[in-house]
Amino acid sequence: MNTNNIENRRSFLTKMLVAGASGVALLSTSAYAKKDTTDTTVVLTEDQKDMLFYIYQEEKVARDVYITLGNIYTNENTFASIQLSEQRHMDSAKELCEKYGVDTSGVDEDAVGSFVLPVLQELYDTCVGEGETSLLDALKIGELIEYTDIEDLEHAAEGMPEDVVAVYESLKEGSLSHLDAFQTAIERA
Amino acid sequence: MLEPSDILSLYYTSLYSGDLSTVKELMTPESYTMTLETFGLRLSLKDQEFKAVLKKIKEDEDALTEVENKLSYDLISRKVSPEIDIKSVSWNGEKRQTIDYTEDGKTKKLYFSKEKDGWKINYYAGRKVV
Repeated sequence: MNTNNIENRRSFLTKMLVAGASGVALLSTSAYAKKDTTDTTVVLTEDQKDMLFYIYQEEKVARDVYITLGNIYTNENTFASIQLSEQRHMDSAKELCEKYGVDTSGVDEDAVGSFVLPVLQELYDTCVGEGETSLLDALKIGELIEYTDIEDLEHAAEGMPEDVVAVYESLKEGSLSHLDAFQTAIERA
Repeated sequence: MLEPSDILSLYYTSLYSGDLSTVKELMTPESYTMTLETFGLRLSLKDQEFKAVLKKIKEDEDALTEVENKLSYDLISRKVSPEIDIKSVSWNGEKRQTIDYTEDGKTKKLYFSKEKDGWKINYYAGRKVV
């Protein structure tokens, strides 16, 4: 994925919001998730609620990786500033869960580097393991995480109601800024 | 039909013996793809060719086969054989279970959903369904 591609995606998703397009099926998760409405109340499908919960857990991976790498490369401010932003991302994702009645009590936000889902633990361990090699490798891991987050948020937003799309779009904008910051730091390193 | 507690043990033994065909049978398709992508990340960071192939596994059967073959060897080479100790099994709804366990002493969970062909590991099934 290159920066031009991401800029095109940013423009595309903005157009989707403006046009009110919400009929695109989820891609990577379920082919049958859809938005139902009851009067003016939006009701998510079970698959969509599952996605909210998973995205919330996945946001913790990014935050925790940056906390850990920031503790190793204490002279590199990029990790310190972005980890604060990732905490806000987690808060937004959690709020969405709570809004739609998704129980988040199983996620321990205080346990940095610890993930109950083995697949997320593997993701964290691999990112940190690679990042420990050198500052440049750590910054490249940050770049990779942001690319991945942007893709995952785009997929997660498809077929969701507008308030979820708005939050995920905001998170995606944040990730794009993080991506810029990491790429600037990589050039500097 | 395998129960989730049986699947849990089989998941670990299959995964770290490189038996991805069994791992695939134990999971929903989406969770299997995520497993390949996540466990394949370490290889993809070192091998640009593998990274390119990994990106195509959802739409290209040949790419999927190549990834499975290479990842299988990588998983075996890790020489991992964690000690699994199931602590509890709970229902998250009519067709969902969560197993709380320890992996080498560390607290873990795996989520399961009951599909048409039996119980499957499903990373998205951690939410309680009323």
